[in-house]
Amino acid sequence: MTGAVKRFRVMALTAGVMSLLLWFVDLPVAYLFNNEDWKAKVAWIPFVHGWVYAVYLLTALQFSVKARWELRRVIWLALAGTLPVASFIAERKVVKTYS
Amino acid sequence: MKSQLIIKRLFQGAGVLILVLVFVALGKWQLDRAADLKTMQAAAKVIDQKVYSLGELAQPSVALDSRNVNKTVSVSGFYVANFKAPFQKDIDGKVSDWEVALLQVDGSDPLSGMLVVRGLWADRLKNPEVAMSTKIEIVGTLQPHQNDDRADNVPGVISRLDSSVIVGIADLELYDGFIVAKSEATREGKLLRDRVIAAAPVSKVAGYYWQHISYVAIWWLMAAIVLYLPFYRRRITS
Repeated sequence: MTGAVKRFRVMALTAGVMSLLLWFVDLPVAYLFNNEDWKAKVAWIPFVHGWVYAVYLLTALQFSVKARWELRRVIWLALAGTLPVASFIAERKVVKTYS
Repeated sequence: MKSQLIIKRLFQGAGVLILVLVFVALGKWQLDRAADLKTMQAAAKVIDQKVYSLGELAQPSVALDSRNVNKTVSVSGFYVANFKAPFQKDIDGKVSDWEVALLQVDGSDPLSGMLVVRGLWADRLKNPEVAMSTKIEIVGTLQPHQNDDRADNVPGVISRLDSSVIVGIADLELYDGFIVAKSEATREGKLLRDRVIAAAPVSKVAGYYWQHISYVAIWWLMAAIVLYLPFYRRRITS
């Protein structure tokens, strides 16, 4: 269980940071500013976010199966990786309950 | 009681199946987008020296195959309309107004038309010998239609290089995309003027190839999770 919590925490924090970068750096650059140089410089963000979220999903699933969470909470945990801050909240809740 | 349970299980099974199919379809859609993006990026780099006839690579009223972008085509016909295409960017990033003509393709049945970028708008008076009855032989590169307007659509001005903008102006079946002329010739000989080279086409699909592939992984992972969830619930209740 400790291993699953650790893995989930690492991925929740990483996914949270990537979500913040995606929502508040990549999307404004892509849709608000017409600057090709900036777009090229932030091109890595959606790419890394996509793969980080995929790994986050796996760790969230592994943790919730081990913790025997109910279905609704599993779905909430899975979606938390897509919204900025939500995965930080999920990480805090998990730490509070299982550490 | 038992039949109710069976019906409940059937509905749950159908729900799971629908969700799985939706996620698999979304993954497939994302995979197609990734493939389109890759094809478009590859097409932008294609250097194919062969000169094709327009009919080999495109048909009127049919979307241009992205694999044929940047290929060189030859076509003959008559210019039936002329437009100014403002604020067009060439391969060096220089923005200028271009002269664009609507070519009625020779011998087409039904009559069809293709947009041809002839050169700079500033040079439009350089070939006064070209009249509507003058047959022109064109060699140029095939380009996909543009998606974003550079100007307002007013008479004589085309807001973007896209045949859908001029539907109704001429009674022709229009080709998708446009040709950037490398050379034009009449019976009297070649028409001499500066030519433009279009900037590399921008893909309609936003994002990057491996980004789309990551989303494919996520959608299919979701499908796998949904398949697993009924077993997970059973384990909880037991």
